[in-house]
Amino acid sequence: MSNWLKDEALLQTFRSEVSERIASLQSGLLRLETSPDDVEVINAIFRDAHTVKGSAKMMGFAAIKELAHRMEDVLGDVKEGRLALGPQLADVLLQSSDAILRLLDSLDKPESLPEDVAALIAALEEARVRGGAAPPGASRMPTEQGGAEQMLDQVDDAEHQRSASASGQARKSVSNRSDRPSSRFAADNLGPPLAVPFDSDSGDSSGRQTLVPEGVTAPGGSGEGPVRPANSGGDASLRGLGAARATARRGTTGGLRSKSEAVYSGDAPAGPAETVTGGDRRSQATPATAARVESELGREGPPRTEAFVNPIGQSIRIEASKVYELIDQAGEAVIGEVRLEEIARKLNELHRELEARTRRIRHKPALEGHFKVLEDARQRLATISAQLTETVISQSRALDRLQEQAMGLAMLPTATIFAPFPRLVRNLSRQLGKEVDLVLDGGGTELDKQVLEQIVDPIRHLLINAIDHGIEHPEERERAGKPRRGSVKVVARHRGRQVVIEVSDDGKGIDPEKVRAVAMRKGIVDAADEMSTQEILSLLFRPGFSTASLITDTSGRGVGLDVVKDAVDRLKGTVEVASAPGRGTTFTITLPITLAIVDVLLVIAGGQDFAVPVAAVEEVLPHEGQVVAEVAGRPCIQWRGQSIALFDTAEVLGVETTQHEGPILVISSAARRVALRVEALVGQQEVVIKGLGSFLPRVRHIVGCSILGDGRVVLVLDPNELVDTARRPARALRPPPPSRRKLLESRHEQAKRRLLVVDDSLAIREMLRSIFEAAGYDVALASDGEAALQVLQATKVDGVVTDIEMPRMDGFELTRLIRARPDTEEVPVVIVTGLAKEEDKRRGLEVGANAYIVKSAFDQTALLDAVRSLVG
Amino acid sequence: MMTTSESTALPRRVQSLREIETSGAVTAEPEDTKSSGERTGEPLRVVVFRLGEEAYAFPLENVAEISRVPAITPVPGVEDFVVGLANLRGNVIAVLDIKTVFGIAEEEERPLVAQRLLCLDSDGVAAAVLVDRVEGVARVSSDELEPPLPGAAEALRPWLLGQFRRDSRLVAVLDAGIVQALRERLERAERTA
Repeated sequence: MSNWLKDEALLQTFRSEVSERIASLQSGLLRLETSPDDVEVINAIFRDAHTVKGSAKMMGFAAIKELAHRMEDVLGDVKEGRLALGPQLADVLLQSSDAILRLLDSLDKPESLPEDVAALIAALEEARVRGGAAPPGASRMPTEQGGAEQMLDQVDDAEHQRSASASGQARKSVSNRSDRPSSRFAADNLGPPLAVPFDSDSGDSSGRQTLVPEGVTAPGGSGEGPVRPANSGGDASLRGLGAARATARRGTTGGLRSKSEAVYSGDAPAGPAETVTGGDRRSQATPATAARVESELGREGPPRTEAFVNPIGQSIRIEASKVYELIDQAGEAVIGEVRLEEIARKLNELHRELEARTRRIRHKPALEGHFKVLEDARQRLATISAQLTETVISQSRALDRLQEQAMGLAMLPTATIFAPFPRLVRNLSRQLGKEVDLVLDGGGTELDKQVLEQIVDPIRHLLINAIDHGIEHPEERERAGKPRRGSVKVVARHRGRQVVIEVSDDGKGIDPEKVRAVAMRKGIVDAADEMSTQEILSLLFRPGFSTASLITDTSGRGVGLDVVKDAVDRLKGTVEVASAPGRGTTFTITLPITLAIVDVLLVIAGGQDFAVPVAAVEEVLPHEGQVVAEVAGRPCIQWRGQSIALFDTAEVLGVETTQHEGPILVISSAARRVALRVEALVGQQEVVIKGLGSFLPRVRHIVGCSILGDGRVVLVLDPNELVDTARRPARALRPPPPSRRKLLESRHEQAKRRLLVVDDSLAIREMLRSIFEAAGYDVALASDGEAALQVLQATKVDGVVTDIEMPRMDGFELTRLIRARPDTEEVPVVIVTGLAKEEDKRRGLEVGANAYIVKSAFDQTALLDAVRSLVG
Repeated sequence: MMTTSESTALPRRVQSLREIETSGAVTAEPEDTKSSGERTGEPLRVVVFRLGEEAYAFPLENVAEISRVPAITPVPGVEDFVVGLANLRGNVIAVLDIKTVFGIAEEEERPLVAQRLLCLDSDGVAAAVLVDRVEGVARVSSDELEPPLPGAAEALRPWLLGQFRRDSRLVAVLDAGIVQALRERLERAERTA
């Protein structure tokens, strides 16, 4: 196996093949939820599992092979109607496929069978035991062939052979299927062995110990999996490893050595048990085999209206980096071509100048000889210049096409990132006790792969938010006169050279007043600040801002829309939110189709050229005619009825400005605006954005650079960071205005926030006390709900952290009473509890808790984050 | 020979060079086999250049290219030793002034056109350093390479692989790993900012 591991290319192929298969398998499983009888889909996912198993086996990745093998068995049973694919089984299969993806990520790590994988294997086997229509008495067979194969693999390894080949042979021999070709590939391609049970033989199972070579343990600890009685299945490698260890533990010796040896040598089985079961199997095998063949040929069932097609077709696998290299080169070629155009133009100019001069001496007899020579040269120059211009023009067209096609290579339909969403929505809504329909639209809209990759997480985040915080519980929806089932939509569409992705829900919407209240409590805004609804909602994108009424595990600590904004910013896109209370919320993400080419304004700041993405520039104002007024000590301009702070771009960048006069750019980012004065405007052009090379890490205010027509490097400014810096009071470029300073100072002097910690365990009380005190809070303690109420009557607190189960009065009741009393109804309550049940969480919400933190998932940071975001 | 206290302060690479020098044999250094000179005892090939009046050298294996100085675009907000970014045949590369790093005082600054760029590659991190003049490639046998002088400037010392004499002049051999270290320095600065 170590040899394979070293071959990166091979590993890469393996990884991409397996992930494609798993993706196909997962989408198939989800599809089966709506059309459970779709034979075509069942066949397809069965083949997926089978292929994954086969590849993993060839590459020698035992854990993946084991898991895929079990999945294949289960799916085989489903395929042949022995097992019904219910939601539970689908869950196990989905989890197993996820586990394979996880294993795929850690191929280079020493191989072992992680616990969760072992558990999944057990669950899959159990599903077959419970659900399978196995004949009675057949399901308790200890896994003997497994043991045999295990040894086989060990011996095999020692001989430096591919274990795949050995197990292929072993399987052939133990299952006594002489109709199978002996090639391991062929054996694998035939699909799984038939899962026909056979009787156990106790003598048999105790006898295999003899073959385990001394000192050999299960390789790499792959035998960690729990040993489950396997009901059926002739394929030895199926459940081999765990069984081998179990056998070894039993440590008995017995008399089936000959049989095992027969297995080892790959001959026909010699043991009596084998012969019998082999016979059994054959007798039952025929019809089933026939059925499978038929179904695989697609003759079974009515034709589907929508064919289930694997996403692997006539494609060439190319590494993304190669495509981007190509795009880069094409971009460079286009830039080079622009320079060539410039040269052609200059040559043409030169020609015209020469023409004018020769014309002037034309009729001067004294210069006639010179004229002829010059005129001859001019004509040749004219021809060359015309040829060059022509060539440059046709080259330019060809290069444009080349560039476009190169960029097209990196474009993928958004459907590729939508694929996991149905499952996410399904799991999450089930987990939260909500009923949610997911509508995906515009999956064909294409986006650059790099953009897509970086936008998946933000969209997933918004989707989770929509379900967790947007969509109400069915009862609540009914009370509000809405259909029980909520609806969440993810829609992608083109808008010019941009792609718009909308994530919307028909849930309860966001209350701007609530947002404003939280913002005020955190000191982000002043009560006096006049803000439009749009501006208020955009506060949600501020770091650490959360208005979720309940902070849960699902959304982590608060909502974290700042993370979404960060990601979108990086992609030079924008994100906006609109919401109608009671009717729903829509997040709109606008992205450039590709990261490679950006339309920029070239400006001069600090005496240097910079490029500013046009997308962020709302308007360019001339220097003349701007009324600059000081507002709170900062120059501001009036723009569309708004007052916008004005900065010199150089000043924001921290370099010296060469002049305080020049055009003004109105730049916006997430509903925030600043006016940036530049020293001059040079022009507008499309540029290929490159990184800053391997040496420079992220540089503040710079998103990348580009090479101009004359070969110079120009830096592309990051509008978001420019706005951040300009608007950040802490890094005020001038002394902060008095009002702002007062605000900052007053916050410093603010009295410590006071927390009431309620828990009946002294140890936990004290632990929480030390955590909160270390975080700068003043902490009061109470040992149960009643004691807490007494404290609340006597003193004012800024937040309550309570346990649920307590003597006299529990946390639910305490929370309810806190909400019921006018002087405490606004006090944030965080429930910290061992109860992880969804109904408890919901009950917490019902009585009015603001956050619910489960102790099993309890870590200090999560708790502190929750408290900080609620209490301040 | 160096004193013990000084040798412990040296980076691993220097020690292994010293081992070659002292023993003449090759010591197995699994983590440090980048330089073929170290591994096989072959002479180390270095590119010799000038910073002011002093002669320095980088191992040839770390020098990807030597070029004239193209237009350099300053990058606002980074440390002084980053002169800016330059376009070298379509590749954007950071240009560094290692004189600033080493604290080499300049009596009279050479115009950029008279300088050269030495493009270094250290484990995939590429940067170009400005040098006053490139003198050529030299072969340095392990016998010739002396341990760094204890009197070397503080800022220079961590990056000295050793030195050798050519034409009665001392040439200090530098570790191209300085590129990585400077990059980390910028990253730290960016994080704290």
